Amino acid sequence: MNLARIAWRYLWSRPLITVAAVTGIALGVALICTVLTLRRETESSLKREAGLFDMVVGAKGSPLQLVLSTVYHLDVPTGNIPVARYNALKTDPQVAAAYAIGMGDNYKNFRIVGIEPDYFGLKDGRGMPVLEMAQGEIFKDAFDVVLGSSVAAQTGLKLGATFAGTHGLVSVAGSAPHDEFPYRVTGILKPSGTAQDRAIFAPMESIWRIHEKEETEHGAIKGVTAAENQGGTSTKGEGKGARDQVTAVLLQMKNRGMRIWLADKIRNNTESMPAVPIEEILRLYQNVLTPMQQALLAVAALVVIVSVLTVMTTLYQAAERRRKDIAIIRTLGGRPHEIFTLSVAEAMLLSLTGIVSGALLGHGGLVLASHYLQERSGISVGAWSMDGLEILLLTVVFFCGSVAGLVPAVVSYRRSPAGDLHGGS
Amino acid sequence: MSTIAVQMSNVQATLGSGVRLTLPQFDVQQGEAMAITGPSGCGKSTLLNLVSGLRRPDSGIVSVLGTDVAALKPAQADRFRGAHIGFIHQSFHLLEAFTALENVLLGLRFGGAVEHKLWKSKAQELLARVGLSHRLNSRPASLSVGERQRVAIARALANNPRLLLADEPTGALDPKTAEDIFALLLEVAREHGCALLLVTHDHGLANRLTSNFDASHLVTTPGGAA
Repeated sequence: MNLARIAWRYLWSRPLITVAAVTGIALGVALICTVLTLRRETESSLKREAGLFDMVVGAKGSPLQLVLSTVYHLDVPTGNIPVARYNALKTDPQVAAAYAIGMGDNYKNFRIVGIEPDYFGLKDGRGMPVLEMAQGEIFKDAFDVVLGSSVAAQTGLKLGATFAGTHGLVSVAGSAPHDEFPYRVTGILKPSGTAQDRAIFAPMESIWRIHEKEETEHGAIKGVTAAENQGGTSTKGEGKGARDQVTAVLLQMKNRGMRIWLADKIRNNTESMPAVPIEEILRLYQNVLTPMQQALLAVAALVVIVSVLTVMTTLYQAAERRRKDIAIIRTLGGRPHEIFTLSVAEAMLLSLTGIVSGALLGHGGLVLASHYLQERSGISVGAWSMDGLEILLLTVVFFCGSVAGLVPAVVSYRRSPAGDLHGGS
Repeated sequence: MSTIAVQMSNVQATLGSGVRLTLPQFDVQQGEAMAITGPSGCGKSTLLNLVSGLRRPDSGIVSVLGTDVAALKPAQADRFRGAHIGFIHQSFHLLEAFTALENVLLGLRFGGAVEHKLWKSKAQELLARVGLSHRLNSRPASLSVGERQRVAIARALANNPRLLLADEPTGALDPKTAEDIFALLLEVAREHGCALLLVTHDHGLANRLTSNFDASHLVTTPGGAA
């Protein structure tokens, strides 16, 4: 019988104690994995999406609000800007690609985002396409739409299905749908792990037509603020009629280094406002999320300490119950290194079982939660990913758990085995 | 080769609260079966612990098979005990997590006197010798007390010991089982040619051994009373 097998048999000869110890370790480890993974993935997801566009140009207001509303589909837009601004940016020699977007309506709280077809050619920083068709094709007619993957999953809309949007970016009780402008689903996108999954992409033409009719019905909508119409096609700023406006223009630059220059040019020469997504997100991180992160890290640190203490006390108690067994093994002629190896092997097996269970629990839980997170916040969580810090902390737990196994062996050699034989359990 | 299995001289040991055990001379010959008798608390078990190296004396020599176990470090004493001494306890001291066969295998594993490839056959042979070939895979909790003591005897014999120590081996058994276990102990000690030191309260059993040591006067209190 080798020592590892003896240790394993020891562990499972006390199933309740072992399961309780493994559960304690696993819960601590699961919490560590969850906190660290959420923190890391939230940050990387936000930065990844911020990196899709080098600059957003929209109506004056809060730059962060502009970025959140147009890149993450989370906030209300700051207003609209003239189509002319879009046309000018499109031909700017510093701009590699310019994508106009228009917002104003929703379907079951999913934003209907007006775009030009070239938006489907959007590529990320590695040159990989962001939007890929899972079913169907991009729109051909003015009221064809392509659904993000989360929209299709949550609304149950299939190819060929029709629906009518409602004014505003969120559903409000009593809002009348634009029944006279039914949309038809012609395509469904693959999951991208970005906020695009929560958008309904429609031709810009449809947005203009719907809001032209609204203008006709309600009179001029000039002066209606973003807050008043939940970010709909307000004409705050430079706009005129609905057809002359877009909500924002998303830019990819030929040379990112030139974005400061372009931002200054826009700021000084137009009524529009430039915002650099990555800067806004970093500022958000610095001012809001970093303190929250630090609090989360403090919690994670506490969890690590509690986990390690749990491991150590559990193993120590378990091994204390084995004082008599250690004394018996000494009576049989067990050498010190065999006693130490046996004791540490048991602690290592217990720690390892707890750590693996906890990691599976934590990351498995995130797999289940990631769908919800993706649908609700647009944050894509790579649930199975681990970084150096997480591996380091799990190593610390393993190391401390293993060291805890040394204690009873050391104590055993400081006592007479005769005492443990007669005083043990 | 010395014919003396155990030789203790001028041994003094403190048992606690100042109670002292004093043993000017104590000899056991090879192959001798000696009973150690005396009232509770007189130091019988302490005597066995001193011989086995489980306890160290304050002074004196405890020579076992020619080695002064009192001079050994704890780990060396453990090793010596595993290689040369079989120890049977009143409360069996079996490892509850393991089967009867595994308990004997552990004796072989840690004793280190038998080649690895012979462990299993040796363990089976020993358990068959004590009448337990049908309970090889039973755990101690499912064995009767008599069967547990038989497993303990088989384990004590695992390393072909030259000295067998038995501390009240029949103390927890009913008279019939006690008689069986006692007879078995004598037989296996004789078969293995090892010296037997047996602590017992039972003078009837003690008188059936080749010699008898009365431990009544080993312990003295600080005031000098025995």
